[in-house]
Amino acid sequence: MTGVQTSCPNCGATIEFRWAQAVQTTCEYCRSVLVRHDLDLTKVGTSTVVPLTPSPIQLGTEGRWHDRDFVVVGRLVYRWERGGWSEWHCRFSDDTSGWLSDAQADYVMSRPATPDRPLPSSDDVSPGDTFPHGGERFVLASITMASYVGTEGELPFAYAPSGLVPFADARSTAGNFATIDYSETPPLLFVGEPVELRQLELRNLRTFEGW
Amino acid sequence: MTLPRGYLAFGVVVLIGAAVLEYRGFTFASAQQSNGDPRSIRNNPGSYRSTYYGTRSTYGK
Amino acid sequence: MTSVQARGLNCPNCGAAIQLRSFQFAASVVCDSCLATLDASDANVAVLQTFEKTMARARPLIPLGSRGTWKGDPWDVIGFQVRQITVDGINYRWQEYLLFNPFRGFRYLSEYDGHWNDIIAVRGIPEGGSVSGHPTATWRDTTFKLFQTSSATTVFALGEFPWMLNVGDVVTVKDHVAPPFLLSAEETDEEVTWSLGEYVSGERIRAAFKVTEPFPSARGTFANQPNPLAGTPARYWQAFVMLAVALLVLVGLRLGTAGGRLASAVDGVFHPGVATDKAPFVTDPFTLAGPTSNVVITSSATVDGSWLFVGMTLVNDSTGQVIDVGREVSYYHGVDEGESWSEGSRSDDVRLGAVPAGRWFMRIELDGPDAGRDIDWRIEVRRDQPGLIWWFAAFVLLIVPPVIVSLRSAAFETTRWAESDFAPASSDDSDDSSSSDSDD
Repeated sequence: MTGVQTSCPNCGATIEFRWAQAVQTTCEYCRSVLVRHDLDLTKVGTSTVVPLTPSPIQLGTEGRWHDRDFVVVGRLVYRWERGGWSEWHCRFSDDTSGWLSDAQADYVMSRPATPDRPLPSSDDVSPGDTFPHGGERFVLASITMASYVGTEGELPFAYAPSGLVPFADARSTAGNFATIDYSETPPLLFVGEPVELRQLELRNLRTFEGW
Repeated sequence: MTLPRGYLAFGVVVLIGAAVLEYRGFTFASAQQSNGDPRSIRNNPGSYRSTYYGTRSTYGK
Repeated sequence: MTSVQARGLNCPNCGAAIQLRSFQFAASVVCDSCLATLDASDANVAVLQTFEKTMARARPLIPLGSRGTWKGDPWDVIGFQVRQITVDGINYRWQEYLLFNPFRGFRYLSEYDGHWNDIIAVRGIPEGGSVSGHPTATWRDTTFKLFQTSSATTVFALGEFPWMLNVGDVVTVKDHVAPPFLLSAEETDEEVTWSLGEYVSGERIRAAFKVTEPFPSARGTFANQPNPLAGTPARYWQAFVMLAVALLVLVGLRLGTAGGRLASAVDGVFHPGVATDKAPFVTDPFTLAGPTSNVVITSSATVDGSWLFVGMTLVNDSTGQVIDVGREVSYYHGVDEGESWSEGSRSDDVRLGAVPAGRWFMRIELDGPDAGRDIDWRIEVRRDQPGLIWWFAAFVLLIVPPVIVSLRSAAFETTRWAESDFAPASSDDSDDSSSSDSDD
């Protein structure tokens, strides 16, 4: 990936982009959240120290999914009533983004999708509701009220939601996953599938003491 | 689907056995009822021999 | 990035040091010393529950912290739970071992009465349905039949867990089986999680984790235990069909080739009251063709409300072998209160087995009533008459093994389902309980 370099407007540290079109990144050193206008970076906030996740995935992890290589370039961390999870921003070789959801060693790789029809609003959804997409029928499994914890790395958009963000998780009988992200209006749809790490042929993973 | 060899062997033996019993004409009561009767007609005067009467059943109405 | 370090913490309840094995995955951990349940997430270590002794401390068969190689990957045993259901007032407990690998996630080994299952989470929602009225769940083209619905309570725990475990947690469990697999739904008010288990041998687990102490041997039949005769009845029936076809071919060959040839025939008239008609006489010799086979002698007489006794002795002209046969031909009939009846027959067959070939003759002695009409009689000797008895016997013998195998396989299934909510007939339990057999 390209090694475009610039410096952090807050602390001066060198920032090297893994992905040339990143819209937002976070300075590793001072944790300032920086939004990009070309090579100029504007500090828009500070990200909390992103908690160490148990995940073996880290920024810079490379992998392969459905015959396309990707690099993990960024991360969003959320918390909910019963724990936390991460959404790893994966940048594919065909210049598209994907999100690897990482929760308690359950992994789902999704990509943004355009809904066939308008998605229900967050007040309108409840488990058991169904909606069609891409020829499949998705059944809503759960609504999670999550709070945004922090970010690291590069994102394709400027992101700083506040308050609780509802996420609706749906599954199809074929085993595919869909998530409705209500952090924006209109809500965003992501469609993907559960994956085992070894399916993704990952390289540059974190190491664990004793493993 | 592998076939059970023991059963097939058993089945072949049964079929061969049935064929032998059938072709050799065995019956359930195959034990010959041989009562030491005279060997040839020349030894059989056609008159009283106790063995001839041994298998007679008495019927009547 | 640096390697993720294992972390430890001190129990806020009793001060004991606790080593966490699942890095940042651990959400709750049970202190091994005081058995308090602690919140282990992040830096927060709070006591969630202190230990309430509801049962004696359970000892895991696989010690916590054991690392084994299971299905090609290393796994650590990091957690242990005892769960319980109550059926007909009897508690049934099973053990669950939580396995962890930072690259593979989590899996469970559960043990009940010596039966082991290897369980992983299922991501997705199986489709519900029913087959002949029996509720089912279908996942990835396999249909699982509902085995039992029960309410399961966690009664004891050790080690660490990636969720907030509470001793006393209750979930509704629905087990569905497609042996050797078990598809379970665990339902709380908030969510349903599905898992897929595979029946595995305890010995294999013991070897994988190098456990020195022997595991209890399996008692009874477990829900998804594979039927040792699975597929066997089908193989036997397939072999039976082949043997039956061979049998039909043999029968066809036998019946198709000539047999039952007439070797000799004698006839005459018996005059009741004439003493000389009761005198024995000898037939001309006749040939019984080779090889050794049967002889069927047909005696027929025009008896009507009368009888004729035919005593025959077959004598081999050269060997002197003798075969004695006495037959009665009798026939009676009448009308009794408007219904006609008959008894006996005007002809009689007798089958002599394995008669050697050669020249034979017959000595015939007749007996009959002393008065009445003349009786015309005829005796026919037939050689090598085909019969069906041995073929029927063969058929019976051939069908016995597949029937036995089918019955034994069905018996295993009956034993399996006797433990379920769907125990066949005999039990008088209500719908939600398993069989009344208390020795589970």
